[in-house]
Amino acid sequence: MAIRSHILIVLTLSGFLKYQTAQGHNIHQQMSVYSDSRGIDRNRLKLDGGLKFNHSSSLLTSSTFDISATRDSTFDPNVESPAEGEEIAQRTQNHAATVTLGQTWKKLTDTRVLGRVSGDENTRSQTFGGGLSHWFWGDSLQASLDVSRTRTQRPEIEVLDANSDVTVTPANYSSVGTVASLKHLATPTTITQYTVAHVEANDRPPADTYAFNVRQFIPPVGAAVHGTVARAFNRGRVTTESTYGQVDAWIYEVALLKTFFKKTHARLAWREYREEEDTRVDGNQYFTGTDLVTVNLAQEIPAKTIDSIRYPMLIEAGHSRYRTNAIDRDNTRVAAVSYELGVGARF
Amino acid sequence: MKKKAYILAISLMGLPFSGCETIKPYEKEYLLNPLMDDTFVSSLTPEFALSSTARYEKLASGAQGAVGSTSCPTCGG
Repeated sequence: MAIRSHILIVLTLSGFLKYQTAQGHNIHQQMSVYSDSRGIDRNRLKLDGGLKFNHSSSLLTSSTFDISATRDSTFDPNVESPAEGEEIAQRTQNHAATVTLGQTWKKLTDTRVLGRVSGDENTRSQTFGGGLSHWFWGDSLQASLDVSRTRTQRPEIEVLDANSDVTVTPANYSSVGTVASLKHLATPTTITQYTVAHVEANDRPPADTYAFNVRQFIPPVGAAVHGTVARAFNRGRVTTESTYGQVDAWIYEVALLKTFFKKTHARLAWREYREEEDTRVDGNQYFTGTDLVTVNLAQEIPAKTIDSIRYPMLIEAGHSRYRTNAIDRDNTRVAAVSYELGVGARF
Repeated sequence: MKKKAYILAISLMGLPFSGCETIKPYEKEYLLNPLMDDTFVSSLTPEFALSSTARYEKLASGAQGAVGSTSCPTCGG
């Protein structure tokens, strides 16, 4: 019943836009649920839409306006106690909104800016960012640079460390991050991407991530294989403003994507995260490992497949299973599942 | 000496690109396939699952900006 009403909402809104020039506008809605063995439940409703305009100017090729809004409800029975005398809610409802403006200049250069605000009963957060991309070398190499800054206001959480030091996460948290990447159309069937990210926060040493991604299309079977390897470091002096020590991690992911009957697309992926932590107090090492297996489907529905469908639509569904394969210092083992369902239309 | 250093530096800068192949527009048929396109692949990427499980992975939130799921490095999970 809920799914039918959501599809009707999308179709009704598409009716209001029927007199717009078809330039790539879109609307999309997604529902997601998550549950894990630590008693954490989460459900999210996301609505997003985008407008795209092509321009006849020789300088400005196209421009986009994207907006998304989410309502995210989380129940966490394991929340840390704040400073004495204060209460912190176990069930929180977070509302977030993101606006992104994009421009394409002379077909080869993209610029973008984004703004995001979110808040729930305990925290408030604001993010601003911008980015630039340019194709060169015969349109086979794309360099990108994105920068963002996030500020968060949250309650102070006091946690007793192993040596009885009191660690207190700061109430005002801020971080600045930069991502630089190089995408290379290496062969007619291969795309590679090299990425470096650097994030500085006021309660942790800087974090650096290096990633390599490859996408290989296999024409005889109409499928693609995507692989990613990333190495992340967050080491340096850790003060009592942080509840965990120095960490570094490896992230691996391999995904198989296939198209069936020209309009049905599937993605099966396995992701592993391996982390090593040296605690602040005594330097003890702890290892965390996790596996995430996901399967996602996207079904294209062309316009006029049935009379009531005026515009091309896309229906998405996904399922994931998550397991910890190594225990962290809190002896945490996690098993989790999530489901996603989305529907979108393009005008 | 300085001139030699500049020439060497410029030569080394060109080294990574010496193996680059320029893909012609008519050769991009497979690269434009939905399974290779960023916009379409993002609809098949489990962004919600990744953001939910990031609470158990201390470096996952920041790493999302590097592994390509977002162009906002501080947006978190």
